[in-house]
Amino acid sequence: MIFGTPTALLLGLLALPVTLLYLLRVRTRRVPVSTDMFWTRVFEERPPRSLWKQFRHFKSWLFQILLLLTLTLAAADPRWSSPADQATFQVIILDTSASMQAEDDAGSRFEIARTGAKHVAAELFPGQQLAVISADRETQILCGFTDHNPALQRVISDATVTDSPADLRQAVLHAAALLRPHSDGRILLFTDALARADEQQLQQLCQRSDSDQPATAPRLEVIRCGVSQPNLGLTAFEVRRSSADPLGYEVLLELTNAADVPVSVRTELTLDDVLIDVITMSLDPDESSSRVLRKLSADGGILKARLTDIEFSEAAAGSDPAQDSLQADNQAFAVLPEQPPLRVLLVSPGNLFLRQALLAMPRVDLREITTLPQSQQDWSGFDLIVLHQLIPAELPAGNLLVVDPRDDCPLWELAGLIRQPLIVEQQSGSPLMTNIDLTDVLIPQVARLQFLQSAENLILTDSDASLLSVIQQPQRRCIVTPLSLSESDLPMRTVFPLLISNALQWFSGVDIQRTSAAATGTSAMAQLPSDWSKSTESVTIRSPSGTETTAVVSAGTAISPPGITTGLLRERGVWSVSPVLADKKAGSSGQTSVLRIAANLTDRSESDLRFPPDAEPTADSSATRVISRGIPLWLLAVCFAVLLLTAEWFLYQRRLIM
Amino acid sequence: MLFPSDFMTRLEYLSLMSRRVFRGQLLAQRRTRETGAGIEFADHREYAAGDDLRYLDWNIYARHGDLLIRRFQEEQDLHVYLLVDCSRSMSFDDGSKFDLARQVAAAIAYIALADLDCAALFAFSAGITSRLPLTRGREQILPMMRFLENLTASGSATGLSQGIAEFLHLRPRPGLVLVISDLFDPGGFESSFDLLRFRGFDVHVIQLFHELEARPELLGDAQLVDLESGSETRITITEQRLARYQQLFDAHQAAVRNYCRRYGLGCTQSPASTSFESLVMTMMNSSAETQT
Repeated sequence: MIFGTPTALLLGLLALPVTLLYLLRVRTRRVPVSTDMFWTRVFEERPPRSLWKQFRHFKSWLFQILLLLTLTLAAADPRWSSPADQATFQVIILDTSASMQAEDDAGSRFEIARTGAKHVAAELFPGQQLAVISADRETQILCGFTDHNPALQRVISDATVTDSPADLRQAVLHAAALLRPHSDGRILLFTDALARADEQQLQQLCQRSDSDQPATAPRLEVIRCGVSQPNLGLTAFEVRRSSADPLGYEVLLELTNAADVPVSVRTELTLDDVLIDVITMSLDPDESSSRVLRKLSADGGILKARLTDIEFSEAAAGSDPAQDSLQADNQAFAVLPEQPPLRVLLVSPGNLFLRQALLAMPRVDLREITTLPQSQQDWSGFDLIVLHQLIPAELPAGNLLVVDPRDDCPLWELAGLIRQPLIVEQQSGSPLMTNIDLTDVLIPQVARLQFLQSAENLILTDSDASLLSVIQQPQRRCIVTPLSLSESDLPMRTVFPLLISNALQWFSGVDIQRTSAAATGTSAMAQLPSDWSKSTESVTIRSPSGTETTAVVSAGTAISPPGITTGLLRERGVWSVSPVLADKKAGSSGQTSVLRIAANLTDRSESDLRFPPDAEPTADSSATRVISRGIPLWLLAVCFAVLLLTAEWFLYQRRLIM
Repeated sequence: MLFPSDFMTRLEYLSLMSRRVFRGQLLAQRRTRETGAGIEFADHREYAAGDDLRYLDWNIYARHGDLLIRRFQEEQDLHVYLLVDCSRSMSFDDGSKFDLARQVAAAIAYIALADLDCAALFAFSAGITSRLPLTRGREQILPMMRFLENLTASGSATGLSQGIAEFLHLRPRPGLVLVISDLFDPGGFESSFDLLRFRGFDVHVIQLFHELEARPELLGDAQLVDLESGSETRITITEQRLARYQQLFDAHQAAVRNYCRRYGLGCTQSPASTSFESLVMTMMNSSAETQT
């Protein structure tokens, strides 16, 4: 123990005058009594002890001396540690990742870390300086080097835990960079479950960060907060539209049991708060179980998975069942895109099979004309144009499904007829060829198309002619088949509506690669909805907790439409993006849709709240060491002085004349 | 004021109450043990030669032939001696102890005079300091009250034995002696009361004490000043010592009670805050119990 203000110990010399005052016989009160014959007998029986005769109230003197010494000790500001144990420049890294939200009897891990950090700040010696860094996926310097304790306390109090995974390596590098100009530095890392191997790697990282003078590299001290706890979490949650069914969608759900005992759980699945499924699962220790659920819905919405009734088996007979300790991974969200209606223009002299096949498709809004439109405006407003036999001289913009073309166009030329074609190759891997086999279709003859643009041939005949081709251009996608619906028996085959369905599904643009939910701690990229104004320059991004930020829209290119990139999604939940210009200029119209982005903590390492066997908190590495050490000794001394004062007051009252 | 304006009224009421409740048990109507020229029949005895034939019971002789002499109880005046302690200890605190002593003395004197008995007052400390000789008649109560009013507790130490010895030197006729004192006599009280008993006096002890004497509220450093001797004692009073003091005081009180019970003396112990009426009634009650 050392003293922050050793000169205050001189106050202890006041014990001498206190003792002298006790030795002096001061004038006492005169109390008349009727007779002293009883008092005389009392003092004849119990004479005062000669050793302490001069000390009229020995206990009182003792208490007062102790009181003085205790107050002297408090004024001297005693500390458990000395400046030599610490460094002149210290950096506190607060792990603000999601696992720090785990609760136990002592509170959340982050609260423990924050309390420990506050105590470290309160114990700074004169001349020492401290910086505070928060570490989740991104490192933030909350406070530069300072010795101003109130500012440090405020910064640490304002620090908040996030739903993001941690990147401690980056944080340690930042801290080391801060300490590089100083030869005497120390890094205090308040985190939870960090394996010893990882700790050694971080320590080596500190050494390497100052390669010039490894001897003066900062020391890394890991302070582990909390205790090992079981947890069950959602470690994957995605949704996507079905590639086969225009109304269907598929949900991927994965649960991980980060516990040493089996667990049973009930998972509720809701779409826009409407319950659509309940799944009951049981998982063995350390087991991850995933499910793929297929559902139907034309409307989009927010899909939410929520874990309820989590029951861990008893670890041992008689022991209480463990509780799930982390709430952040018990809920997950995903955005299910809406399946909009497909506006189709059928330009055909008339074919009942083709018309009925299109009408049979769900969500198809069909318009039919029998002659080619005269103006370009008549082509606009459609998601797909089906050209049957009629081919305009100039192809309209947009997606095209061309059946049995009878004329040339900029994409192809007719190059004669092929009699009795024999199909020799079908690319079954293409989504357009799902469940498609034209081998048995009777085809008397077919026109040979010579493509002027790059085309992908999905069905080839023995004469190397294509029966189904795909042309993809920046401004359009085009499917061309020369099969005649009147000469072949294709329309009467089952494969015909399947072919039309595959084509419509392909044109509808279901992006199975599209991410329905982002991971917390990452940034998300999103395309602006088609109904937004093309002049939208900036958007407002609102977090699930209501915090708003503004982002600039990136300009679109010929290949990719305009989009935005969010910052790091530190909160789990549904983020919303709305256009700034649309709100200001559109005014009351305000019909612009809101782009929604889901963010989930789907990180197995964050869901695993167990400490590695070699990293269980010990007396030296747990936060309680810092906290218990951090209780100001002067405060304890003052409390003890109050107790002594109370005792002395009690003695004083006892010897008063009432 | 020691004797307020309604004091006489209260005395009269007290006298009536004492007569109604304790008739013949305390003062003048108490029968003497002597038989003789009284008018109230006592008993018979065998006739002996020389007896006055006027007292022969002729009816018994006519019916049974037995010669029996009728005996009568002789009623004598009761002499009541009131010994009031005037030592300085009686003036403790607000002097309420001394005031009560004088009020009780006045009350008993009035009752005695009202019953046609004789009463005398003696003030003592280390000896008899002043006295009012035996008087009779209700009208003598006023001089007695003046005498009591003029008394002061300015004597020296309580000298119970000296006071009683000087009282006995006056050769008073045996009667009822009421000693009103706190009995804080370092020399003890037993020998003094023994003298009175041996001389054939009926003794009633009225011991008065102040509440602060019984349960002193003293703690800590103090310089005790004895009111009688003037000696000073510098002490530190702890709760333990205070408890011991109270034990000794209670033992002293118990010793007085035991002595009186053992020798058939009347004993009344009362705190100074008691009213004199209730004290007198208590005293008479205890006297009645003692006689029965």
